[in-house]
Amino acid sequence: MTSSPMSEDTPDNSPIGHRERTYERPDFPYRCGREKLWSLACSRGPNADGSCGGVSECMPTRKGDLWHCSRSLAAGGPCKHGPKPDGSCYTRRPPCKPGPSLRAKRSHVTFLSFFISLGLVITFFSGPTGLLGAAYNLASPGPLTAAHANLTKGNQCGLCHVGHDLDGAKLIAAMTSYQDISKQCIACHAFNGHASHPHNKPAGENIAPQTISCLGCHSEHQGEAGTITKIEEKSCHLCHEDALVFDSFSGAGGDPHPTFTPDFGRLAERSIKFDHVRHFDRHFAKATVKQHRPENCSSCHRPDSRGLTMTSPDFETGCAACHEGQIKDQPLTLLTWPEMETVLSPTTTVRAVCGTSDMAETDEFDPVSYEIPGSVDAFLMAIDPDDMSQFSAPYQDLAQQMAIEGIEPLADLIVAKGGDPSKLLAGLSSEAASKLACAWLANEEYEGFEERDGQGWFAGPLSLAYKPLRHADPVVIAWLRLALRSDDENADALGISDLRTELFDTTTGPGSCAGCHSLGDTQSIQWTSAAPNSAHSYFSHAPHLALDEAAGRPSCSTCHELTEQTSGPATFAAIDTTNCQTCHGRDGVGETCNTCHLYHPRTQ
Amino acid sequence: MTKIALERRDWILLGGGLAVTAAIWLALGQTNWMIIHPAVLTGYTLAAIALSLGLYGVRKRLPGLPIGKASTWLKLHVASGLVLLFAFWLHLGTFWPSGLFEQILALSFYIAIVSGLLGRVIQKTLPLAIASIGDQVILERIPRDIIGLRERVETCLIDCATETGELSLTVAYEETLAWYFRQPRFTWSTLVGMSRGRHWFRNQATILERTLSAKQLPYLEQIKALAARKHVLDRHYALQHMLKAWLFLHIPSATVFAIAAIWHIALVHIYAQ
Repeated sequence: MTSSPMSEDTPDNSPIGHRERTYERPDFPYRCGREKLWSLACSRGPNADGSCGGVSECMPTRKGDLWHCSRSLAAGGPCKHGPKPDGSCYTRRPPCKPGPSLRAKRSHVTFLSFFISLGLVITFFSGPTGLLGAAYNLASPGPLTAAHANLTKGNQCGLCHVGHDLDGAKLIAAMTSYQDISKQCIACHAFNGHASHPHNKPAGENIAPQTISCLGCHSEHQGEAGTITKIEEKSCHLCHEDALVFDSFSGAGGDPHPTFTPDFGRLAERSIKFDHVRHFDRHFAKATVKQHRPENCSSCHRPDSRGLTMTSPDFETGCAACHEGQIKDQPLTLLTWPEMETVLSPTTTVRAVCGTSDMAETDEFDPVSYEIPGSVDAFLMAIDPDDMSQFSAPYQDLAQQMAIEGIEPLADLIVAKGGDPSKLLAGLSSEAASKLACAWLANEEYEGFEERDGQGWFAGPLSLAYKPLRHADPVVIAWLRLALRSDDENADALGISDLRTELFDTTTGPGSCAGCHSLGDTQSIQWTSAAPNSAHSYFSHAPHLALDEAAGRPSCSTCHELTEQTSGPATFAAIDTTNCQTCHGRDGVGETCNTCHLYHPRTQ
Repeated sequence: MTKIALERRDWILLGGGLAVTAAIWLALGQTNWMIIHPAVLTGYTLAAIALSLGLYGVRKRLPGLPIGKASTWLKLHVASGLVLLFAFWLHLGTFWPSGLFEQILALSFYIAIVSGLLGRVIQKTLPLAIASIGDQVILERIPRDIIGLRERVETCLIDCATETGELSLTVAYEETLAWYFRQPRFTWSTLVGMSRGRHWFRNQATILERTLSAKQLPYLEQIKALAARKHVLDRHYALQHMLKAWLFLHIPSATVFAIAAIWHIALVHIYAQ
C-alpha cells in the first residue's frame, strides 16, 4: 500500500456519460442479480424483459470480414481477446437472476394492494349477504340500535334500503343517483306535522322552502346502545346560527341564552281560569267550603306519568262540589218567539197538523210576545233582531215548517251554518217542537215542556232552551264550537258577534263555560288544563320538584309566583332565565339545546 | 436571495390554496345541503380533496408539462392532506367508525395520512442528516462503492500475507470482518443515529490488535480506515433508503383507500334509497 486508503475514498460522483460509466436508472424495473447479492454488477445490466444481459460482456460488431469487440469504456473498453470467429463475445459468464428495482417493488406492492382491495370488494359484496354471511355484511356500517334491530332480523336490510334488493341495471342506476332514505323512515314514523319540513311545520309558516332529511340529524348503525334520537348541538346550529347561538346558558364567557317570552309561565292566560288568590283568600275562607281547602300546591297538582307536566284535578274532583249547580242553571236559549207586527195565514197543512181552523186570522193583531229574537235564532236565520219588519216573516215561516216537520227546519238551518244537528239538537223531540210551533202560530203562549227533571231541552211560554245535563255537556260544547267555527270576516253582519257574546258570557253563558274555560290564541276553547310546555320545548317537573324537596325549598313557588291583577283573575308572574341559570350553565347541569327543546313537535 | 424569494412565493401559493379551500368550504356550509344531506356534502368534499391529492402523483409522471414546480405541488399535497384529515373527521363525526367495511376504509385512510406525515418529516429531516455526513453519495452507486471497498480490503490482506508471511489477519477477516464488508450492516441502528457498526468493528479490531504481530498492525490500520468509509456508506444507505421506503406504506394504503372510497360512495348511493 503506497497511500492511505482514505485518499481514494472520494465518492464516485463523476459526470454521468454512457461512455465513461454505467448509468444507474432508478426508474428501470430491473436491477442486476449480482448487484442484488452485493457482487459486482455487469456493465450491460438486465435486459428490458428482465432477463440477464450480462451473459456476455458485449455484442461484437462486424466491420467488413472482421468482428470487433464493442465492450464499453466504462467496462474497460475492447478486450484483448476480441470476439470469437463466429462473432460471439469471448468473455461469457453464467446468467444472473435480475430482480425488481426499488421503484418496481413499490409498484408491485401498489398493484397488489389495488387488486386485493378490488378482489375483496367484489368477493365480499357478491350475493345478498356477501361471502362472509349476514353477520359480517360488509355493506353494513355497523349494528343497528335495539329498536330497529328487531325489525331487521334475518338481514332484512331491504326494509329500509330499497337499493339492497336491486340488481343488474337498476343497481347501476342506483349507484349513479341519490335518493333520500327519509321516505322509508316516514313510512313507519308519523309526526305531528309535515315530516320533511323544518320542525314539521306546514310550508309558509315562517319556514324556508326546503325539505329536511332525517339523516341530517339522526344517524343509525351506532350499535344497540346507540341513541338515534339524540340530537347533537351542531344540528340545531345548522339553521339557528345567529339568533339562537350563545356562549353559555348563563352567559358566562359571552352571550347568554335569549330571554323567555314575556308571558312565559303566566299559566292562567292560556289555561283553565282558576283564580288561586281569590279561591284561597275569599272562597276557602268561608266556613261552608273550608273543608275543601287544599293544603298546598301538591294537594291538587302532581307530575304526570312521564314526570313532564303537572296535572290538575278534574272537574268532578276539584270543582264539582261548589260549581256543578252553577253549570246546570245556565241555559242555552235556542229560539225566542219575538214580537210580530203581522201574522201570516197558516197553510192548510199547518191547520191540519195543529188541529185548529181559526188561527190568528184577525184584523187587529195583538202579539202574544213582546220579546226580541235571541242571538242564536238571529244567527241561524240570519236576521237583524232589531228590525221587526225583517224577522216577522222568517219566524212565522220557520214556525209553520216546525209545526209540520218538527225539528227538521231547525236542522236545515244548522246545516246551512256548518253545524251538525245530531249534536246540536241532540235530545230535542220533534213532537214537542211541533206543538211549540203550533202554539206560537196560534199567537198563544206555549204551556211548556221539560225533560229529565228540568235539565236538557225545555220550553217556556215563548222560548225553546237547553239546560246542561252536567259538566262538559256535549250539546253546549257543540254550540260553543259552532260559534267559534263560523265565519269571522262578517261576524257582525251575520250575528256571530252577538252569538259569541251571549254564549261566552262568563256568568250567563250556557253552563257558564267561559267562566273557567278561556279562549286560546287561535279562538279555540281551552277545555283542559293546558300543558305549560310548548310543542317544541319541555320542562320535566318531577326531577326539579324532587331537587327542591330534597333541598327543603318551597317546590312550586320557587318558579311560579302568584300575582294579583288589578282586573281579572290572579295569575302567575312570568318566569325568566334567571330561574334556570341557577343550575343550568357551563359549569352546571346541561345547557344544550335539546335539554329543553324538541325538534319534532310534541304529540299531546 | 433567489431561493428565499421562491420559497416565499411558494408559501403564498400554499396559503392561497388553503384560503380557496376554506372559501369553498364556507360556501358549501351556506347551502341547504348541509341541512338536508350533511354527510353527502362532507363526503363529496372529502372525495374532491382526495382526488386533488391524487393529482400530485400524476404531476410527478408529467415532468415536462409547465404546470408548476413539483415542490409547489408537494406543498399543496401536504396541506391538502391535512385538510383531508379534518374533512374526514367532520364527515365521520367520530374518530373510528363501527362498520367492518368502514373500519377497513378508515384504517387505510389513517395509514395513508400517518405515513404521509411521516414521509414529510423524513423529507424534512433526513436530507439534513445526509448532508451532515459530509460526502455526497448516490444511493444506486452504493453497492459498487461497497464492492470497491471490499476489493481494496482484500488487496490489503494479500499485501499483508505476501509481505509479512503471516495469515492471521486474513483468517480473522474471513471469520468476522468479511461479514461487515459484504453489504450495508446495522441499518436500523444507523437510521436512528446510533453507531453500532462502528462500535462493532472497533471491538473486532481491538481483539485483533492483541493477537496480530507488529508487522500486521499497519495493515489492520488500513482496514480500519476502510471500515470508517464503510460506515459512511452504511449511513448513506440507511438514510437514503428510508427517503424512498416510506412510500411503500403511503402509496399502497392510499390506493386501498381510493378503492374503498369509490365503493363506499357506490354503497351510499345504493343504500340511501
